[in-house]
Amino acid sequence: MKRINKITVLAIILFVMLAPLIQKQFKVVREPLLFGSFSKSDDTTLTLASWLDKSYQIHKEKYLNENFGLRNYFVKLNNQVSYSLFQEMHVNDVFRGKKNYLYSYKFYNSYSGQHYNDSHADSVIQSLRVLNKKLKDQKIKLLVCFAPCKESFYPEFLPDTFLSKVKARTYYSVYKEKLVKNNIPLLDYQNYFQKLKANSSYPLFIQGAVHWTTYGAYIALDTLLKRIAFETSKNVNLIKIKSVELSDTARGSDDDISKAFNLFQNLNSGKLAYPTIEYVRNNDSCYKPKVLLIGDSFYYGLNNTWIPSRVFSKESYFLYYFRQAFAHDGRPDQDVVNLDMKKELSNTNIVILFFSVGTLDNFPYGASKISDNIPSRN
Amino acid sequence: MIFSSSIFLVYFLPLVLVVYFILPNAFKNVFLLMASVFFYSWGAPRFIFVILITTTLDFYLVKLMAAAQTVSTRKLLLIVSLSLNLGLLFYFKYCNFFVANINQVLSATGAGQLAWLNVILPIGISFYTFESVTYVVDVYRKEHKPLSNFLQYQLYILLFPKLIAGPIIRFSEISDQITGRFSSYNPDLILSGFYRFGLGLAKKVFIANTMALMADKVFSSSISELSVADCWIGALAYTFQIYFDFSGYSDMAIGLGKMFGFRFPENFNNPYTSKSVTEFWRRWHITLGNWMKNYLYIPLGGNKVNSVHRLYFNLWLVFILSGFWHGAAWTFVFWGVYYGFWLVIERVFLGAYLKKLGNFAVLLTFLIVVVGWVFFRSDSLSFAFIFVKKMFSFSCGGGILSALDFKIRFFFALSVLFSFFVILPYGQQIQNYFYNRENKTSVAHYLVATCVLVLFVLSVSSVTSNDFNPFIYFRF
Repeated sequence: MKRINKITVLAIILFVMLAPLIQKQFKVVREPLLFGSFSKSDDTTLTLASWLDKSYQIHKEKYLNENFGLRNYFVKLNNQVSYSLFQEMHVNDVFRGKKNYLYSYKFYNSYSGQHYNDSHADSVIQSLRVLNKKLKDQKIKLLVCFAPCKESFYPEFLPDTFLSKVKARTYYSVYKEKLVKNNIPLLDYQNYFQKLKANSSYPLFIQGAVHWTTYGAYIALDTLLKRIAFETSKNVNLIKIKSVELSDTARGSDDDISKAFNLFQNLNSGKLAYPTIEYVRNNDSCYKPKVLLIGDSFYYGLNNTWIPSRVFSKESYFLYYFRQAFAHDGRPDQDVVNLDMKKELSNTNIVILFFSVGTLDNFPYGASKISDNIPSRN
Repeated sequence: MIFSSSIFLVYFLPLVLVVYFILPNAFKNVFLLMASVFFYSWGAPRFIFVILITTTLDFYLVKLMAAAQTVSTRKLLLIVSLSLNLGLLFYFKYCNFFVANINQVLSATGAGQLAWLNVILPIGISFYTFESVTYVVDVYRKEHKPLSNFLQYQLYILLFPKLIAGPIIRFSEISDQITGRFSSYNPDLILSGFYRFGLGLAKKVFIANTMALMADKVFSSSISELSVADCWIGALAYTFQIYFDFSGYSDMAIGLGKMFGFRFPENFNNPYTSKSVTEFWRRWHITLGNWMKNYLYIPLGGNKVNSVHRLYFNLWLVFILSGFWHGAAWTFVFWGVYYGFWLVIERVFLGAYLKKLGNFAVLLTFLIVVVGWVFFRSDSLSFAFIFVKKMFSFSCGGGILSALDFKIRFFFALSVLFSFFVILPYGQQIQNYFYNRENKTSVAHYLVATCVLVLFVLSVSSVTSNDFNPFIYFRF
């Protein structure tokens, strides 16, 4: 081989080795984003003490590993190779069931009653009874909604070892029974979706996502609005599905797991339905309740349709896990602890607890504490 | 810093290579020494001072020794230098072990305990100490003149490609290369070094790390939970893990050495294809075997002793010390005893039988080695004995491992293929072509470079990304 050719090969090798540093310095190509929830380390400052006790090296190494050029490409390459060759998933909290149905460990544990405790369930029901009574006294409605999770919607595709560990007594089964017994309004999506499952025109849950589909979310929203109208006895605007667009490309949370896999090629979701809706009445003339909705990520699907921000009062809030407050009128997000709960409750019409069967282990995430802040309307 | 880390692969190595290539030859050694000091102090920021001080002392002690007129002075300086080096090794590596054992005896007799703060083992001390010893002894034996330049001596000891996991390079093997390597420093050598490095990295990242997952799962379980199949899978997984890990690391070291113009000795030569335990030790960690032979076995009398009993004693002692060198625990000592036993037995009668067995001897030797690794990997001797007993109990049922997934089966198959393929026709030639032949044709260079670059990029992506496991969405 001629010397010039050898030097060319060597130059190519060096270029490949230096590519991450060149990219870091000059941002030559636009890197793809990484999806999923993860945190990045902060940079660290060098001191003699931190060098000698190695804390600098440990932090710096972590920081540099997360921040070198082309890193997102390297992550995607690693994930794609692992997935394509070995069906390995580089994502937290996910396991594979039969026919490639993907599930969440956390949701499975809650759905299957792994952490079920009688006395905890009793105390939750007791606190909800108090909350319901106090809200009722102030003419505020309470509605509890239990959404299905993938595990409760498609238990038949859980691995046999997981299926065999599902307990008869779970938070869902106990809460459902006791809420009815205590006359606390309940919207049981789990039951409703199971009934829809066999005859639904479009998928309500799919193999590669942990949440319900966009179509499922529209069905859930339609049901919720009807129920609010019923509970408040007011002409809350309702929606109607006008048409449905079928697409091979997943939108919104329809590829939530697939996105978090961070592959070059997203998983095939099959045909997914994306409804176009119309309002049943003129929206301006309808009653717009102020809603304080405390919920988990299943409500995101409903919220992301932007319909709640139109049919509910602008002062409404979605309190994510009762930790982070998303306003409906464009005000910035804030921590729930910073909300003046008394003020917010003073003109609230309905409080909704919206959680899935997969997140009931810690239900209602401290939300029953709002009973201490209910102002008197007399 | 370790080779299979993002800081090394993405930052340190590319930058050091570029600067090294650009610098004139006269500055290359100084730069390499500075890079090596940084490399070591990144992982052992305090111990670097100990190394720098002891290498300084060694350098001047050896200089004095070489210049000494009388034998007694030479001997005295040799003893001082050896005591310094071996004393450090003893303090850092073995004090915890001896104090723990003394305390066990004291507590059994009802006496008090020795107060002792655990000493942290500095990375690479076993390798660094043995290389220091070769410098002192080689000069003492007048096999080589001492280095005149202090920085050159520091570079011999601290040269980062081989500093923390070998190969153990005798002073006489490298001394001429420190200043004289540039005449044969060419793109062929650098490319062949990169190929070797890339292959070693892939062995470590893909095969050894996958086998480690399986081995760790088995060896961290309670013995009562393990089935016979689990024990065999765990023992085999560790057998392949340690080979591909250590030989991969040696490949990386040899490859890096070539990229900087050095030619390091080979450390592994397909050890699992050995037809006897004696042959295994000629093929496994070759540089340690050579060190033990030259600096321990031969000074003890080696083969040239008056009685076979003395010969067996020498063999056994060397292997017990070799076991102890690998780690300060009774499991390592027993591992040495175990190999000493097989080497003696082979000399007494087994060797003759193994010769008659042909390739079947490979299987038998492999079996002996697999059992040996159980002692090496186990946390305690009692666990190891029960583990081995279970391996040969041939009972059924139970166990922690259900069907092995495709990835594990795939890498098991690769491990077997790469461990044994040299016994197939053309196996050795294929290996030599990829591993050792520097003067390749153009097509071969492009082909090998492409393959190794793909492996390199995949390895870097694995090293840098395997701990990136996000949640699907944020939750409280």
